[in-house]
Amino acid sequence: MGGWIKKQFILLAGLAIAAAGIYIGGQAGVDYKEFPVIGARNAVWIVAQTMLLFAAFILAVPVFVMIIEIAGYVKKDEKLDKLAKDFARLLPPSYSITAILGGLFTLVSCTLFPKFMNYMTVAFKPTYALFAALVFLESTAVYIYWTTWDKLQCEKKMQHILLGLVLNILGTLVMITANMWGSFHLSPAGVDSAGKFVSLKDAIFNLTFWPINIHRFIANVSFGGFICAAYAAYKYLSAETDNEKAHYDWMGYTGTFVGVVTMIFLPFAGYYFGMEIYRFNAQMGITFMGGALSKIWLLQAIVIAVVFIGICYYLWLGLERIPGSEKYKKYIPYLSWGLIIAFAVWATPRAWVASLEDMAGGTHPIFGTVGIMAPKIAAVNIAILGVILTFLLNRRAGRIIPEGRKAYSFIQWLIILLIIAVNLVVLYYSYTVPSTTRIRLSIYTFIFMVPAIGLIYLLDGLLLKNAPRTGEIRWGHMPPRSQYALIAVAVSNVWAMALLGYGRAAARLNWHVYGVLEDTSKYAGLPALGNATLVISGITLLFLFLIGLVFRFTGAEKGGAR
Amino acid sequence: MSDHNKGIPSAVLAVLIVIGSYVLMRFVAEPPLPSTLTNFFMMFVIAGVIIHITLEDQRIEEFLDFISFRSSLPIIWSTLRVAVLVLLPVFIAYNVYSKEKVTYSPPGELFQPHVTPPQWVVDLKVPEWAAAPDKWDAKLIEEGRIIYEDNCLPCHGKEADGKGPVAHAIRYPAAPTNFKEPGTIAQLPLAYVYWRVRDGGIFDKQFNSAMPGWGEELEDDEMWKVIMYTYHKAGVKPRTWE
Repeated sequence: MGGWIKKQFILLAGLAIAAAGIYIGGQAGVDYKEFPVIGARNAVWIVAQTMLLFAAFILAVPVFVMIIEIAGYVKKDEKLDKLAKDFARLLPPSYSITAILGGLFTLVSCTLFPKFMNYMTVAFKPTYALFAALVFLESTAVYIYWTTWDKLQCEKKMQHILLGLVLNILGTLVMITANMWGSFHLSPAGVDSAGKFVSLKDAIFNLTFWPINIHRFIANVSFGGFICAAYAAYKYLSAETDNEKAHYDWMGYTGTFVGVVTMIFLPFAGYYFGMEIYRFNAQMGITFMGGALSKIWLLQAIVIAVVFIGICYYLWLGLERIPGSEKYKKYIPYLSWGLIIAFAVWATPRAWVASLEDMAGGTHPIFGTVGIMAPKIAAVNIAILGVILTFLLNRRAGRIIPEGRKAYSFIQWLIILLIIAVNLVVLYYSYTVPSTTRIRLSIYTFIFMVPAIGLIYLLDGLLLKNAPRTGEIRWGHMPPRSQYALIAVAVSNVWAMALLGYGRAAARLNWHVYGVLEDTSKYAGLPALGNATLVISGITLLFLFLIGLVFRFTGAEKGGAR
Repeated sequence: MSDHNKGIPSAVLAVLIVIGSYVLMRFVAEPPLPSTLTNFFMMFVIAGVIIHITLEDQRIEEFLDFISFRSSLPIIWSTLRVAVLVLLPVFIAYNVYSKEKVTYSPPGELFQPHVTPPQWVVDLKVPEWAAAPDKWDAKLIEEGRIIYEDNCLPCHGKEADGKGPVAHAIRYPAAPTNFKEPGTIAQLPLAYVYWRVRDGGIFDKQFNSAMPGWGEELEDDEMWKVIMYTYHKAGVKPRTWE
């Protein structure tokens, strides 16, 4: 009980700071206030994005902790249970930091941007109370979930899993409640022509509400997986015994697996989000995708390249620890250069910084043609396929496939070739059909790819069912550079999240609430992309510092599980 | 770059791939890729080479031996090694020099092909006779051709490919648009193209091209007809707002 009070005290302190902020904002009497040195916009931006990164982390971790815990329960595997617990131990300190950051964010934004925040407070007042209640319940659930881990074992394990389910439901509800506000800023509804708030229900269920919920949920789980993999990498590098190394090697692999599997679905959620933005306002869609903010997507391609290629690099190095994997290594150069080319296409600009010397502009026959959406979508799909093939290699390596199952492998190859063929055919047609048809084609291609990938994995399961190994996987035998790759993946992921956070906010241009409440402060204009990336990098460093503290002070049980 | 390549050591092949890619982009591709973009793509090439080398301990050692002169190589490769180690700092120094030297070129500009249109463009109602490309009247397209050839051809060319007789004079920051390219008018709704024809390329400091505004020269109907002809000639169809 004492521990619960102590934990809730931190949360209550966060809520009190937030309430103080709302009160101060209500009494401000001015539209805007200034913040010393870094300015009001940067102050709010930094606190908001850092808080969102932590919020993403604490939403994500319980999702896969619960999945691993269930897997451990079903398979009666204690090692899985210990792995889940090792992930879960990151939760309590992360919740405390999120609570404080949340309070600070409300304080800073209400104090510096009172006009905007007062408008939101009046409009969404009931949801604020709901949010505070949900956060309180979620924090309590985390406390109970963590402290009862060892008590609710064996026949009581189901109770603990149910607690995890409750925690996940609460976490998702907290995210959905916050998304009511964020999506309203972007695509407001429930307001009359004068901007007066008329319907809370319409305001909540605005056009981008569900796309943001879906996109954020998937992105958060993926992000959480990669951060946990980085934690495992840090632990691996500082491990002293073989047992610890083996455990953290396995943990890093699992975190990476969670991150990749969920990340594969992100483009689909992104297309849906993009379509709803266009539906809300084509002007905003063009700003976002083809206009002032289009260069963001090139930066995103580079950081996602680091994520995807970094993961594959880790997995390729991982083949070293699988006896009997030698015959699969010959495929790696094709995969690595295939991924490099795919990402080079994705990152190709439609237009470049033009100098007189370069005679650039948008009409260069090479990058003018490669830089449009059609080849980029094909490149993304091929890159996804490259990652999947890498995972298949890892699964297949060191396994002796029983006689009579070759047909499964043959069908797998047929599906892989079909995916490539479909992408190339769609790419060819994408150059000739109208844009609206092209966008639909890209969505249909992805809808085709998801079950095709599922089928590949299903066949793989059948192919490898009870297939004997040529030797045990040598967990803990990874070169240090593989672990630095995992850390680089996590850093890139943080940067990508912060970049896209900026992109979504920047799509509103000079509006606090798009088309409804104008930003009349001196920060109404967008910062130059170069300046924005500096702030994004600063946020990334701040988050890494804080999560580094969580890593540092999260004591793991001695003696690895594997 | 495999270790099974008996003839060429991995490290040499890595160097050849890096140099070859640069030569391909700057001296073989026509027109050459802009230098900044070449550097951008070289980042991918170098990343690919580093990944390949570091995937196996043996390759790392081989590479370190190569650059630290620990391995003995045939004369051709050892000459290349010396050449690389001498020329690499020279190349870097040249890049620094190029970046720092005073030039009389205008500064580079972030070219933005699809600027955000004002709201009236999104709300604009296209005349019924111009709205559906499948139902465009051949007579109106023919009228559009005459207007196009009188006004647009000098820059955008007879074939709508951006190769008009004066196109070479206009190249900064953007050469006249090649309408046949899939990334130009095929990606734009009719109302957007109308806006660009009417107001030209120089507005709001968003898009700094030499395209003049035709709103005062041409009637509304004439602008729609020329747009119809442009799509017809380029063989592409307009986009619709999602």
